[in-house]
Amino acid sequence: MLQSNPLNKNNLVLEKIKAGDKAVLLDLYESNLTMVSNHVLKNNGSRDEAKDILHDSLIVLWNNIRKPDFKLTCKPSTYIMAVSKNLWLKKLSKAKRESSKDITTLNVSDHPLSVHQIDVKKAMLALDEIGDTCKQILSKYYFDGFSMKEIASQMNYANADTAKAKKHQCFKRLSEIIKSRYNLADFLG
Amino acid sequence: MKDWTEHIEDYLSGQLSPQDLKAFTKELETNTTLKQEVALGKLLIEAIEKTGELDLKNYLKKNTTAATISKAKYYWAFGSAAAILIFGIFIYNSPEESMAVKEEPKSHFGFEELENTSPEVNLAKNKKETEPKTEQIDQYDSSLDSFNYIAQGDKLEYLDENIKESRMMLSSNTIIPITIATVIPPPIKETMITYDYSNSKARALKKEVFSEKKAARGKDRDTLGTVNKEKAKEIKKLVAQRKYTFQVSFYENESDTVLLCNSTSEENVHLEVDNLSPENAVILLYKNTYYLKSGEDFYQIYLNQTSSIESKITDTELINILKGDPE
Repeated sequence: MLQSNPLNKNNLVLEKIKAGDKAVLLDLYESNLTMVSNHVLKNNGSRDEAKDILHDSLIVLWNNIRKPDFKLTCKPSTYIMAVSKNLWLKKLSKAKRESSKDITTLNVSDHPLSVHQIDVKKAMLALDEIGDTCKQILSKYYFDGFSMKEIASQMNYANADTAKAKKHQCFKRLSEIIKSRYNLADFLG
Repeated sequence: MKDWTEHIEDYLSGQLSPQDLKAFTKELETNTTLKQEVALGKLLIEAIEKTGELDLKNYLKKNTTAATISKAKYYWAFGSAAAILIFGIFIYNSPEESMAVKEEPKSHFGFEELENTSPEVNLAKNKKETEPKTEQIDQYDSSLDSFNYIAQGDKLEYLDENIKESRMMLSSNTIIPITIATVIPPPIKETMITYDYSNSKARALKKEVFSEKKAARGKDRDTLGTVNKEKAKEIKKLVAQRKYTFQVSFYENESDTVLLCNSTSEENVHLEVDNLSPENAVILLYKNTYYLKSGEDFYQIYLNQTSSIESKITDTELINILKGDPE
C-alpha cells in the first residue's frame, strides 16, 4: 500500500511544526509543489510565482498551526492547496485592479507605505542591532510561539525564569534603540 | 507606585494576573507615557513577527531550490508509476462466447496488427524502447448503447510484475473491452492514458469479425485472417475518430496521492482527487461520462472544464451501476 498510516503521518507533520521543526516545511514544499504549480500555471502564472505562493502558504500554515486555538480539520496538503489557491486568486485580483487603473493616474503615491508600515520597518532594522541571541529569543517567543520553558531548553538557559528575564532584557533593548532615535510621540503618530 | 512599563510585555502577551490586568488597564486610561510604551510594544512585536516570517521565507527560498533538484528523481520514479494504455477492441455475444474468447490464444483473433500499431502502443514504444507487454480482454455486449472502458492506475513496483486485475466490469451486463499495454514509464511525471471508444460502426464491424471468426472455426483460417486484417484496419480508423488522451499524473502527497488528469485533446479534463491510491485509481466511462473510482467513492470527471473539479457521486443507483452491481 502507498501509505500504511496516513493519519499518523499527518499528525507527525503537525507535531513537527508545533515543535518548530522548519525542515518539515521543506518536505511539504516538495510534496505540494507540483499541485500548486499546476494550479498557478493553469491560471496565468509562472513557475516562479507558484513557488512564491507555496512559500507564503507554508508560512500561513506554520503560523496558524502554532496558534494554540487553531485546529486543522483537514490534511496539511489540502490546507496548503486551499491557501495557495486563495493567495493566487488575491494576487490575480490585485493585478487586475491595478491594470484597470488609468495609467495617467498611476504614480508612486499609489503604493505608499503607511506611517505604520514605515515604523514597523524601522523596528525591523533595529532588531538587527540587538544581537543574534536577543533576536533569536524574541523570535522564538513572539514568532514561533514557544513557551519560556521550551526556549530555556533550546537555548540552554537554566530555567524558564532565566529565559524570561533574558527575553525581557532584549525587548527592552530593542525598545531603547527606537526611543533613542525617534521621539515616541512622533514615531507612533 | 508600581512601574507598569516593566509589565508591558506581560500585558501584551496576556500574562498578567486578573488583578494586575485590572490595575494596568486603569493606569493605561490616564498614563500617556504608558499608552505610548504599549503602542511601541505592539509595534515591536509586529516587527519581530514580520522578521520571523521573512526569515522563514528566506529559509524556504534558500533550501527549496536544492531540495527540488534532489527531489526530481523521486518524482520521476513516482510519477512514472502508473502506465497503462488502454485500447478497446472486443466482441462477444453471450457469456458463453465470452468464456470461449478467454480460452482462445490472442493470436487467433486477427487483431494483432491493430494492437501492435495502435497509436497508444506506438506512444509507449516512443517513450521507452522496451517492448510493452500487452494484455487484452475482448468482450462486447450488443445490448449496450455505450461502450465502457476502464483504466486502472498501477504503481511502479507493480510494473515489474504482470499486471494483475487491471480491468473491471462496470456492471454485470456491461462488458469492458480493453487492451492494456504497460510500459516502463518515461522520465516524466505524467503518464499518458488514452481512452478510446469506438463509434457504433466500429463496434458493429468488430462484432461481424468475431461472428465470422466463430463461424469459421476449424475452417480456412488463412483466408479469414486476411479478411480480418482488413477489417481490423477499418476498425482502427473508426476507433481513432473518437479518442481522448489524458495526461494522468500521480503525485504522492504528504499523506495521500493525488491524481490529476489533464486532457491533451480538445476536451479538457482536470481533476483533483485527494486520498487516492494509485492502485485504486480507476477511471470509468459510462454513457459518455467519465467517472473516477477512488476506494469506494466515485467522482464524476467533467469534460470541457478547465477548473479543478471534485465531484463525488451520491446517486446510489448510479454508484451501483458503476460498481457493477445494478441490482
